[in-house]
Amino acid sequence: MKYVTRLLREPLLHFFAIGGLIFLLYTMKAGPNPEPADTIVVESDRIEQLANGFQSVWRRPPSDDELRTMIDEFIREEIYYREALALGLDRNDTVIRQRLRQKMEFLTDTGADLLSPSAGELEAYLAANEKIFRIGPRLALMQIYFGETPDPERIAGSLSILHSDPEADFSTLGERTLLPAQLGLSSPKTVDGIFGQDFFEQLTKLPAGEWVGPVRSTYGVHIVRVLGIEPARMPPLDEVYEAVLWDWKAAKALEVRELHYARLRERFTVEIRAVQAKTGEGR
Amino acid sequence: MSRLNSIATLLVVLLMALPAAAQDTGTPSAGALSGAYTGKAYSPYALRNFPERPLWGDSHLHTSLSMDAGLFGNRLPPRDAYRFARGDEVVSSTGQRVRLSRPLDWLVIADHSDGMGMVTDIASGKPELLAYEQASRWNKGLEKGGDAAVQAALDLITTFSQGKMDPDMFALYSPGSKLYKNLWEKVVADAEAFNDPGHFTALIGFEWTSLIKGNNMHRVVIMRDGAVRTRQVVPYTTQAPVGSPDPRDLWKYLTNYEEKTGGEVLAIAHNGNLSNGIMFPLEAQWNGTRLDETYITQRDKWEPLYEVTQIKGDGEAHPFLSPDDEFADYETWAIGNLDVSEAKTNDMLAGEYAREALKRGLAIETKLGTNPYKFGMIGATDSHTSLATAEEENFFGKHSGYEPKPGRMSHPFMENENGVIMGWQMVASGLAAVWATENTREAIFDAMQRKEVYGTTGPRMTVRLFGGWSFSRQDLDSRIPVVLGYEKGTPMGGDLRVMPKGAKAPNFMVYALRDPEGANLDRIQIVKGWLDADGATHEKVYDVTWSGNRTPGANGKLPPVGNTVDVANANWTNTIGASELATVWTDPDFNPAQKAFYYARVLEIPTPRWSTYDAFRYGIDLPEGAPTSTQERAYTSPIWYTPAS
Repeated sequence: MKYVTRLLREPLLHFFAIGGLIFLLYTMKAGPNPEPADTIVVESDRIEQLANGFQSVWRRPPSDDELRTMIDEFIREEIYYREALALGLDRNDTVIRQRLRQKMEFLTDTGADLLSPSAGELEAYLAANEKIFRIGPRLALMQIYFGETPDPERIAGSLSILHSDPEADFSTLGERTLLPAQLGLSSPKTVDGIFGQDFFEQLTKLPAGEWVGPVRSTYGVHIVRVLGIEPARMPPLDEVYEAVLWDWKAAKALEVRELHYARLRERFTVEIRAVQAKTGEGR
Repeated sequence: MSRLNSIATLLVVLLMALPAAAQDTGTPSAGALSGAYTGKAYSPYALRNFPERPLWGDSHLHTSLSMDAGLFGNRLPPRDAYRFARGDEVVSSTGQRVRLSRPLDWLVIADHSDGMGMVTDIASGKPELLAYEQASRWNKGLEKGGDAAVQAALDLITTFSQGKMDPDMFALYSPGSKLYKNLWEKVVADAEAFNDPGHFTALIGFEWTSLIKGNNMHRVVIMRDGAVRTRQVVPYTTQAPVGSPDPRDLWKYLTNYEEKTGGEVLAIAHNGNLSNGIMFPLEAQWNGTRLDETYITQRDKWEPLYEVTQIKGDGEAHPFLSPDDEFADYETWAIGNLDVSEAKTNDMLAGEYAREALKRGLAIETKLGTNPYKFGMIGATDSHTSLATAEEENFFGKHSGYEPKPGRMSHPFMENENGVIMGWQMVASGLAAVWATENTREAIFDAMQRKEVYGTTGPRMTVRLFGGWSFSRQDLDSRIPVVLGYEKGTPMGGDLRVMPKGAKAPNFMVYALRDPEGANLDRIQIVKGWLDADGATHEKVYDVTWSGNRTPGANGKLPPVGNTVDVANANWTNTIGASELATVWTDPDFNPAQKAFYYARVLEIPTPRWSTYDAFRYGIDLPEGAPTSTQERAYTSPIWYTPAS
């Protein structure tokens, strides 16, 4: 008996019951006169819904046969569903609990979908989230590879050739490599993705237009010519409007989700008994 | 700002033309560039229409929207999955901060989708709704914006969740009604939000989860299109009569999608290793239906790729099928089917592994006229954590129950009377590299369609493979061998051109560059499969280039590269192996009358396996049976040879 009382006080059970209610609302259209438990009425609305479901996959209405099969399957599902509920098979089922939690969250997210920013709100959001929307720097480069442990004189020699004649055929200097000899304006992600971490950072400190080196990548030593740098910049709202709006909505959705949860939470008295489980702190 | 931009662009254009121009006066020592380059423009860098670098991505990731992922405690929706793939730090479902070593270029979220009613039209003030007092009240609140709007939204949700919504109005939103919006639309909307052409691509897709008595027949479906087309349908399911578990019906759905929307779509099967022999049938499908014209042509048409490696096992080769391949026993899961409801027997294996399927394809083509298994190969994670982690030192497991924690290795992942798969057997794999000309949905999809892709077990090594009839060592020494690769041959995923008169055997220009943040390379191998005059299939693995001064022993086998893994400290060094490997290889056993395929397998030097990192970081012992190190690898799409008829 004590167990049952405790179970009834279990907040998750309440939560679950509320979730179940919504689940029911979806599955059975709430009407003023619910049918007796052993009657299943397949209303025209329901049939239309089944047909629409078919249509949304196949972009055509179902044939008579297909519709009949769907109705039969629906009846089968409905009977199993009711019997399962009667047997209490929905209780303590992790899948159902998780699914209902998910549905509750979809619900709040949908509510948040309805919000649209008032004047100035997006500008403020953009300004407050500079880190997210900032457009990173890009640079273009040429490089000559000299292997992992090159002779410094060879590098110096190559540099002096290129300094005396910047138009010299640089493709005859250095070692054969599969690394690209030049790269158009590229983000740090692309440059570091090819030459390894921090290569981009090193290049930003080099004078543009000149052959310089040695510069070290993850593969070895290079001499490099930075062709151009486009610095990082903050885009105006117009340029990133869609992205800012989407992000603003996502942030609002989280806010609404938390507010809604807080409202629900207020209705429950929660008691946490002494923590029995081992935690990381206890080790 | 834009002026600076255009100056920089001009500078790039001008300077890029220089090396070519300089050859007029310089002395081209190798002669390779000027002699062999026959591009459309004088400048070797202008009018380039080949891909410059592989774009890395995961074509198979689940988020909290997938029922099973949610069940295992995944709390991260698509938004977090995209942010993570893009390189942002996120907090995992188990509360751990996590970030990729470097961003991915693209992602396909492939969740299972089913309907969910959503209330979306109130804000737009639809007249038929504003007749309802509640709708009109909420609408006013929402229009005010700011806090009033938040309160209105909250009020709406609460009213709804308490069942106090006007029943007539509520009916307008029940599933099947015109205002019903399903989860698929949300999936599409999220992809649209994160798709950033040129920087990060979010391809729209879903997973069709066909399971026949526990035997895995799953396919990931990927669309080339944006919201306008993809929203015209909802994902295909396996429930009759709308859906079906038979791939023939999936192909009908794909046909229908293209016909009705004008879009493009493809499907990628995975985990043949858990299909108990039914993934790549030779004669008949699992239900006894014999392979016929429809099956082979449709499969060939819709399934250009196969996901060859992922968390639930590597599916390239199996030692039972490839006894002469000493690297075939790599992270295989040959215990049973997906739910281990039926144990594995050796006779099932031929219908499960990619190399054998490629061979079967040649035999079927000879018999029935089309090769249904003419697929390219990729890797993907199939992770259910919303986190596309395929790196050994940063592996977040199959699902949220196996995110990093001390017990995850020694806990059974699946267990019943037929066998057990332990947590440590999860594979930190894989990724797909796509040779796309630009980072857009269209370019990535098109590269997948032409199979110019390869898969790895996680590392990002660059691999090129070209097949032709006249490649020479000198071609490789040219500054931009890739230009010659495309000029003189066919890239991975293609067919060898018709054998020219006088040619004796095809040759392959193959080269690989190690992951810039990863381990050196051990060797490149070419895997050849062929069909003899009696209709029997064969395979052979050739070591074609390798690091160091090793020479093959009397048995023809190249000695192992060595192993620098320090197990106790989960560390290794790049003191063995090579940063780059390249060669031109000619098939020494070529018979022009025999159908054949060739693909490259690139092996890294041994590095610590994810379980070794776990043991080190948690200060625990490795479970029995867990290997301490792993030789990660890349598998390219094959190049096929067909005799002229």
